[in-house]
Amino acid sequence: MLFNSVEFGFFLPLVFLLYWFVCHRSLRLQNYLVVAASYFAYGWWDWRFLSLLLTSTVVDYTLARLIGRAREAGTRKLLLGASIAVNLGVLAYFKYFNFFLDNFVRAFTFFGHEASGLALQIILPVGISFYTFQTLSYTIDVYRGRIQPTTDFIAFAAFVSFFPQLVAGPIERATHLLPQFLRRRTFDVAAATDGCRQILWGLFKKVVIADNSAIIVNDIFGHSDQLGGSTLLVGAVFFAFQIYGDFSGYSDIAIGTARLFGFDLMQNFAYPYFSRNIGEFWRRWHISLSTWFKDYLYIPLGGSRGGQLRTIRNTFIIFLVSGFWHGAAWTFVIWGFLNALYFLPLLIRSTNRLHLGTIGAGGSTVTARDLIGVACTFTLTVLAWIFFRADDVGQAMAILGEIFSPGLFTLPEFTRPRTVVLVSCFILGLLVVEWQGRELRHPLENLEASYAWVPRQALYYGTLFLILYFFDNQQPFVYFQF
Amino acid sequence: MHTFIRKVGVFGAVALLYFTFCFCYNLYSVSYGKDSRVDRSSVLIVGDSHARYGIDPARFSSADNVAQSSEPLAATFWKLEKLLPMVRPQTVIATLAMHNVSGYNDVNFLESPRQSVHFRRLHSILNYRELASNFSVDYKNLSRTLFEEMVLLPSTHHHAYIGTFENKYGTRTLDPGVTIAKHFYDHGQVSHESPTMFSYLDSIINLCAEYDVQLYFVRTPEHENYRSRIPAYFAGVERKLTNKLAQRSVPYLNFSSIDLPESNYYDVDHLNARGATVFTDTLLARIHSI
Repeated sequence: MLFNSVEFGFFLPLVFLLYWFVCHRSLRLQNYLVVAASYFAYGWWDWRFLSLLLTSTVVDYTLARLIGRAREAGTRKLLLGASIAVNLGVLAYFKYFNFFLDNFVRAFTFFGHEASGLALQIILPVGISFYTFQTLSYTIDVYRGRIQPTTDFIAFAAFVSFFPQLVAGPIERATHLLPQFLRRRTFDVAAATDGCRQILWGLFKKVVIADNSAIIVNDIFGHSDQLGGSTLLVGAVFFAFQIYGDFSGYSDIAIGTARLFGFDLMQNFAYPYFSRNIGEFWRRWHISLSTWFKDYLYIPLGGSRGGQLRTIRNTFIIFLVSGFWHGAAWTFVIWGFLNALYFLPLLIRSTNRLHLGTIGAGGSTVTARDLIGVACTFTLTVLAWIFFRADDVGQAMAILGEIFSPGLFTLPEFTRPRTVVLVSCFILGLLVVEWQGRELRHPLENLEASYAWVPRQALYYGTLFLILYFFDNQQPFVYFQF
Repeated sequence: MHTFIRKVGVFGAVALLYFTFCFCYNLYSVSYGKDSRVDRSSVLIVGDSHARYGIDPARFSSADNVAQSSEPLAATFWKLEKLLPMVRPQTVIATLAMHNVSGYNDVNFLESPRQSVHFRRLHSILNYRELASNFSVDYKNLSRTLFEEMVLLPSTHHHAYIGTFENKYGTRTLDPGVTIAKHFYDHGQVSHESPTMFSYLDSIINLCAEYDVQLYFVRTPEHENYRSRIPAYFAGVERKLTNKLAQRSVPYLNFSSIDLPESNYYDVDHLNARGATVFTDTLLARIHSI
């Protein structure tokens, strides 16, 4: 069930009313409702994969309890290994089977041996990359002793399947979210009101920014072999905003929705396009995934202990795995590799931990150096996004080749120039609003402290109008394919 | 909780008030508004792209061409229902070819992207009861279109059902493949005739009789490449159609196989500007001779 759909517009108020008016007396009842609503919402996509979700839930619930009971280190390790094998095995089968098979066949052919692989018609279950990582983090944290295994299966099932964040994150940690299912929730007017604002802003980013940018991007990338470097670069810039609007918009809707039910989800995007270097970018983009990789892969590999070479090796592994997580294609791996390359100078100069705060925070001066850093970081990420969007490596390389050619200095040509101008204005508006609110969890947070009632209402209704006006241009959520 | 419900309620109520105002305004515009592009004229030309590109109203002393591409006979009927009382023509010329009565028309309101085009055009003249009973409809898209056209913004422009003549220049292609497949085949199988379209033919005839309007059905010139590829099944449909119109005493002027040079065709079943001039004069001569 898409957040930007009429069905969700009916589903959410109904669940909200049931949650706070019918089930409010019992924590268990509320959790049952969350599970039922979440399974219903997930089943709306494809009911066939409900069993997969349930299996993942049952397996990790059971294994975590066994880990909690086991005394011997060897047994605990074995049980953890089983959890990792099941979760990653399911992910590997649904997401990567055909990719590996295809490359295996190609490698055999390259070396002169005939091989034919039977590609299976495997449908990728929506959200599998997200919820498998979420349940995996639970069993790992139980193994590490960071959290006690829960004996409340319903609360655990609600944690795994929680409908706002099930299909595209944020990837929550059990230490953060599971306790919220185990304690009584009270309705907080301020949190719920702010949640509504966050939903509104998320819908704006998705419907107005991302879906309109997608029209331009699809046009340009669909005819990339006929277009000049300047047009292709503009297409890549629009894609940067498409993916940002799409994914951060989804996260905002998820977080805002969760707040309506008394839950606090982690921030997933912190204005990444205002980053002054790549290190800061990766602390602000898809925060839940990058921290997941840091805690469960980077640190166990040794992290930054063991010398610079080991740090560089571990960093490359993280980025490559992160790229691969996004999709079973070499374009994603190359995208990850490019980001690792961008990170390399920071590691060598030990400046990757610079800019921990927000640019111009607390009214401090934004220097020319800051602005140059922002521009350079944005340019580097845009060039990397080309691999993310391209159909294959060949197309991405051709586009880059055309961008770094005299074609870059020609006037861009668009089949829909008015759409380009209109969307550019919306993006400018987005940047202005987000710049104003860059120190907040979302730019519309606590607006009543800064603006009077009339301009606030004008902003809310104007945003709502734009969302309804562009509702027709629906494009699929980009991150649903992961 | 009550504070929150009140805040959301007030926010929603204001939005609802605005939408209600827009709806009332648009309903008034639909009911009483008039498009200045169409005024009283002697001849009203309706139909699909065959009329839109093929019959030039400027060759008449007083004519309006309100045809639109892909217009099914149902839409032509609803359009005439709206326009006949307003325009009060003496003559209606409606294009009618084999593809207008093929099953291809039955999914106009279901299949993308045609349904969006039709909903947007026809939202102010749609007969919803007939739509529901005669067609498979994508109601989600219809609801969305109605919301955008009737509720989101106040507007006086609800006349998207009124088309205009358009000149096409040059010859684009004379390859019939795609067009034949679209008009006469459904997933590789030959489409059958559409009983619904046949019934709308009757409705158009009855409506014109009610307004005492002389009705002509016209089949515009079609290139040999196109004609020769129409499935044999439709020869029977053509006979049925001809007999039906003869029984109803409605002239059916079939120009599909008149000899026109290739330079008069824009593509296999549409005339270009030159062809439209030649054909319209031929049509006028024929009408005057009847």
